[in-house]
Amino acid sequence: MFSRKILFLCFCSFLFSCSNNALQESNSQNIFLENVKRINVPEPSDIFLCSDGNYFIVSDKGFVYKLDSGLKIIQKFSLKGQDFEGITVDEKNGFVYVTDERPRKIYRLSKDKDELISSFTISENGAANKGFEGIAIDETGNLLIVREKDATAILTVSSEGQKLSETTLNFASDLSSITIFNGKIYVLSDEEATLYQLNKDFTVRKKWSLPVVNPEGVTFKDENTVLILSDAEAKLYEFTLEDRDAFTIR
Amino acid sequence: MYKIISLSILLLFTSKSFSQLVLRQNDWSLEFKGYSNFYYNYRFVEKGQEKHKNRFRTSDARLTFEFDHNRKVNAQIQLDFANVPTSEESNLLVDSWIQLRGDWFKLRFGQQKVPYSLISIFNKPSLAISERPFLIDIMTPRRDVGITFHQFFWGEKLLLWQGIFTGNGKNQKDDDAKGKPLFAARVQYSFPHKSSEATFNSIPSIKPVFSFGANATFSDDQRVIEDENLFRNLEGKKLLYGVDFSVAYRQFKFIWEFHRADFKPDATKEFSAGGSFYELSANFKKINSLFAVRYEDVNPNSLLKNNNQKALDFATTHFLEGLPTQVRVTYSHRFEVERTKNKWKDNELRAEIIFNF
Repeated sequence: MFSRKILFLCFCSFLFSCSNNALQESNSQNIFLENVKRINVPEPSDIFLCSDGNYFIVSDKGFVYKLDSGLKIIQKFSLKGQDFEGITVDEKNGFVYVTDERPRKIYRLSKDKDELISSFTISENGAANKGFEGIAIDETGNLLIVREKDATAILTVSSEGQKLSETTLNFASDLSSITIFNGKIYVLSDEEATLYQLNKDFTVRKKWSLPVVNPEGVTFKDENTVLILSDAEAKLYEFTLEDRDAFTIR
Repeated sequence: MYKIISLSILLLFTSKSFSQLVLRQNDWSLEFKGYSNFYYNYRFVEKGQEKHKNRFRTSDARLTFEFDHNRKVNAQIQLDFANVPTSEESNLLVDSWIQLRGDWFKLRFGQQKVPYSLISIFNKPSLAISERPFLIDIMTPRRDVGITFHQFFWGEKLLLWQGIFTGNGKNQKDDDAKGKPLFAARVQYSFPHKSSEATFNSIPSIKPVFSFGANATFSDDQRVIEDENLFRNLEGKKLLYGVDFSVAYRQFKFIWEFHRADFKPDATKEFSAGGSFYELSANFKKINSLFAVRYEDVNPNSLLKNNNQKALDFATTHFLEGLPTQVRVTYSHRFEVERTKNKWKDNELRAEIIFNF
């Protein structure tokens, strides 16, 4: 008799939780899908759109690709890493920075030639597959590198590889990419399927829920047009962001 | 004493500063990780059968060493200090394998999981209910010593495994008197994109991801050890085959598996065994909780009519904020077997704490 009561209570608890959370789950509506394109890069994990319309994409397989504005591969770099997860381009100086997640290594390549200029390693003890997922360059020329989890963080590193600071973040269960556009910092979470705009102190200013599976890369076309890269689907999603104060997190 | 020392070593690793320690040198890395599981178990036994009614146990105290060289060669050794040698049979060594990786394949040598059944391939910390289904425990080969060739195509949507094993289960140094191996194969197709253990168990998918699997094993051997597992406890030919289907959508996951085994024992009549289970789970990140329910129906012997063993399990798991720790309560309700008018096993309540590091 007692066991039947437990059985009944378990069942009720399960049903209650389902219904309660169904009410709580509501996606914000301030993002609009404009376009979806397939990308012919295996397991693409991050993307950067240059001002000339070309794209740089890294792959989990450890390769760097350059694609034209029609997403056709025009160059595959000879550098072979273990698990490339983040990419950014310093257009002013003609450099491409790439993060290799497992060995915690940063490569600096020439943007226009297939040439490795330098590399450095940031010493960390964390799990191999919970490393550097994204990289961006701030206005001072320092690199902002996001750690995926345990703990999610943004590391500020000089372009020569000296670690300047580390800020632990706790608003998302993981981080999968970072980009800076018009001075604004954006980070992406794969597990939360959410794009966050951050303040200078890395607190959340705004956020957008994304209808994208496994979002691993983010780059901007213009102030209101964001491109999100899906690793699992190998697709590039283009969205218009509705930037309303109503969605600002205070 | 050995157990206490072993657990103390594990506790050293569970402090924040030691968690997931990785040593790196050039293209080499050595990673330490693991989990421990401590539980209280209450069994709803008949009066007069008080043995094992209330008990505290450590079910797992696992430490894994993972070596990697440039993602081309890797090796894993997994030890379970909750199963230190107390008799001739030792279960201390869980995994011990070396793997070569290519762009579209992995070739694994050593003691490892036999590629059979989706839920059997999943690691224990990512299960939604304390134990795997009874069906999997009694009918599938689980771990063995051998070689597995694993291929992946179409962005890992299509996965193939082929394996050849000694056939006697883990930690068995020799083959049996017949000297024949166990063959295993599995195929899995996921749609619209790949489905990994992580995407199935912990990462919410904003689109439904469907996965279909089919697998089989065959062996003809002698009994090596007394075991509740039908595969290891019978002499003769054994053909095991099964299919599985799963779907993951947002916080909801569903998995169904069906397995059947045809036995041709050397000494007795042919018979078969089989059954299926259905498992539904929902992971609500906002409240750090996961709820799961599972129903299974197994007939371990087709020669006995109305002999089905049925169970209904409920589990609720709470993930502690900011800690790699989860607390889970599972209630297992077993139904009466029609043939005997008795429960095939007592109902149980299990409360456990699992620490991942």
